[in-house]
Amino acid sequence: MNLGEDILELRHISKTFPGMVALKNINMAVKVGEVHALLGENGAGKSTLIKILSGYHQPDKGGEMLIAGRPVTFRNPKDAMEASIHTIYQELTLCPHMTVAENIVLDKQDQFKGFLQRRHEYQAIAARALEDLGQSEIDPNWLVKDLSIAQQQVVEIAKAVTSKVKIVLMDEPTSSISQNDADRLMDIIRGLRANGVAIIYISHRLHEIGGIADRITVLRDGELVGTVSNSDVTEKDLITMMVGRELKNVYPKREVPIGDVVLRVENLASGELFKGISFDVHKGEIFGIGGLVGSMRTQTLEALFGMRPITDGKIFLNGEEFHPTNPRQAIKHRIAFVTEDRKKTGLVLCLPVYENINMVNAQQPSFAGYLNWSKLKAVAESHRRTLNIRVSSIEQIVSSLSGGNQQKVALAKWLDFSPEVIIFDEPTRGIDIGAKTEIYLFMGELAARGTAIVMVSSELPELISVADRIMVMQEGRMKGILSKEETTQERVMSLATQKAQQPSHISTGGYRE
Amino acid sequence: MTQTQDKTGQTSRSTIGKLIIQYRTILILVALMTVFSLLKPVFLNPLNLLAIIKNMSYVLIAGLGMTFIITLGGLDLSVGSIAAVVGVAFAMLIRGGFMPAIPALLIVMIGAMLLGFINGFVSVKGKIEPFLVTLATMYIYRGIALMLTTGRPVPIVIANFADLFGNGKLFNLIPSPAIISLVVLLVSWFLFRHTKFGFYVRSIGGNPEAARVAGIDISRVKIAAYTMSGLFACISGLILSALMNGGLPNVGSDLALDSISGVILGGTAISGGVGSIFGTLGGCLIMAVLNNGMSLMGAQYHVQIFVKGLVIILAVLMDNAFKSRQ
Repeated sequence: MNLGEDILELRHISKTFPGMVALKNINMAVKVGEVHALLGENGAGKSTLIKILSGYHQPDKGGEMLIAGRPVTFRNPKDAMEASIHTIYQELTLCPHMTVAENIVLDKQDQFKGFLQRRHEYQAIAARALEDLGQSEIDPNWLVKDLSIAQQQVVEIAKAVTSKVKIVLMDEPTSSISQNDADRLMDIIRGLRANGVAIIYISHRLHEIGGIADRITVLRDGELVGTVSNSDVTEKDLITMMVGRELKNVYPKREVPIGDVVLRVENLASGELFKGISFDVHKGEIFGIGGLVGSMRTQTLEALFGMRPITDGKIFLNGEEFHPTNPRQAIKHRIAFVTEDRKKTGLVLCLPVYENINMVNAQQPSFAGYLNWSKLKAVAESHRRTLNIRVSSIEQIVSSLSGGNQQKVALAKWLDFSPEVIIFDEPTRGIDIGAKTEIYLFMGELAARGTAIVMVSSELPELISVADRIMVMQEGRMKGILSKEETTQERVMSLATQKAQQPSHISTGGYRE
Repeated sequence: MTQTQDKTGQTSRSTIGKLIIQYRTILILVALMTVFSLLKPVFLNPLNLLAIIKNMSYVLIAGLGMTFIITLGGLDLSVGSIAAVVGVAFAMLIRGGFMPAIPALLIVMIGAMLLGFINGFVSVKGKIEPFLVTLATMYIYRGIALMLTTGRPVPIVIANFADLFGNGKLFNLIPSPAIISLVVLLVSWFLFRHTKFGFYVRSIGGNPEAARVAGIDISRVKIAAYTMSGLFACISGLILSALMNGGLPNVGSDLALDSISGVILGGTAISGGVGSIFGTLGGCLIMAVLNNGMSLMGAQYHVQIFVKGLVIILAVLMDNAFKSRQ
């Protein structure tokens, strides 16, 4: 195969699941020696396409896949591997208790004769592969569990390279590694490309795609929007292709009059996790908390909600001291908590939408514990309409909903007891832009009703656009509170990363009381 | 054109799969009943059918309690031992007119609830897997029954008791254990579907962390469920002792595993969260029909339990086969 020829071609690929069409008539081609980015919002169909290419899903009849011009069908992942497509998943799939060398040769045992392991051959193969990738500092004898995520990725790539693959699929390879490691990964990818490997690169990070991709295919709602050459488009063009609309209204912010202090936190601490956290949140205010991973933002929220012991400091609600020791007490004081991980702590996935929405509501006193489901279903139905939760019926099981709709259900369960304080932990993680915007709009609506909102977010544009004030935390300490006027992405980042023992000045950024 | 055809083909196939999962308990039951009635027409005789219901009553009642426990993500292995303690204690309380029957009944009911409460309390407060706690109390409670009687049966000579819980018949037709089962079944269904308690049980079984964040008192619900399982085991124990006219310390040694089998055959997920009261009825019926039909055909107990095991594994395989196809 020569450079510039199509190594992979998809013709009319569709995939239907019971009740939904995941992919509709996708046509695309990937050339030898190109980095081909696959771009789209969550739910656009990227994952389905990857799973088809790696043999986990079979496309509907009528579609065709061609590798080097020859039609192929994958009945299982092994077929895909044999057709020289290698997939590197977000969650790495190495055996942690085996050495680097053993992992690299694990899928090529057919090449070795005999019954015994050939340790030296394994090591030689691994060492050569790692050297080719410019990563000779990884010792083939190391155990995989001792490697960093970035190094494990390199091992995955080495595994692919030694299989003489022609196509490498990378699913969000930079989502959990540092900038330096990401830069190094880009070098490796360029090296692979120079060797004639075709790389299908999936990422959300537009600037990354701009730096590495030759061509970009954009999917939206399971349909092909188009394939463009990287040099022909700007980031803005790509966003427009992804969302099908201009981005300016992604972070709507409703101006709401700010009232009295509802929640006041003084010098709060929980063991060594965090210390000296003080802030107050007013009626109608959205109070943001920013910081890096490990800044203990979530833990602080959990303490407010009674899920973590408070070892020092005080919390006041409407001027009265409040010391929660479990979520029930927090709920009794009209605090709601939309947690970070909806699948782990926000929803009971095996129950229907209406039962999830009524999980808090059903605890209101009733005669002999009787639940009037027809009434509760009506409540759920009205919340479904308010939040525009897209389901065929409220009896649908929650696990079958998309991320955005699940998040809305997790939020809906708090609405019926009109909370005074709502805590949002990463309210829009992993949901598509349309649902994000709807959640921001609803947060504005809640603020307008006089709810005090506390929001943790790792997405800086979101934090800055939606919050009225932002407290920045670093390693369990508060680094400062920025008012709307003071806030820029750079200031938040510098507070979140500054190494000084004491912040030069703690700005309170507060409202005059 | 071929594409659309294929799509509808796929959808209808998966709908059939879904229907098979949903109604698989009934399907197995109907299949078994058809086979047995073809081979042995006497199987369909109403008296035989009523006898089936009577013979499964104590397994069903323990199984209904077990449905709550398994939906909660737990297990209760001690129900058989509780049933034995109940039978023995009741027989001893009324022996020689020591105490009238009604207060004795109340005492054993409260006692059984206390034993169930201990299961829940130790599991929740000691943070021990309910499997382990009830494995231990299965021995402890059995030990209590044996120690109380030094291993010998204690006769019960009150005719009314035997009528009420055992061999009595309403309208000279319907066995009283069948009526008790029906009442317990309806109460369980109401609790499971229409009260906070049942809703909490399903929520906690589905995701304990989410239930906690929603403010549900997990410890209280768990302890209540084990207490209730104790009460249901008490009713099973009373039926068993009425059928046998005495408190037998060795009675009910299969009760826990039989009732768990009934629950699993009824489609309740062992992983928790998804349970069905009427499924448990169906599951217990499957086992009872199997026992009865095979007895009619002259199969020995040895063969019966062999087949029982096969049916359980087939039912679970059926679930998985249709689930993975979706």
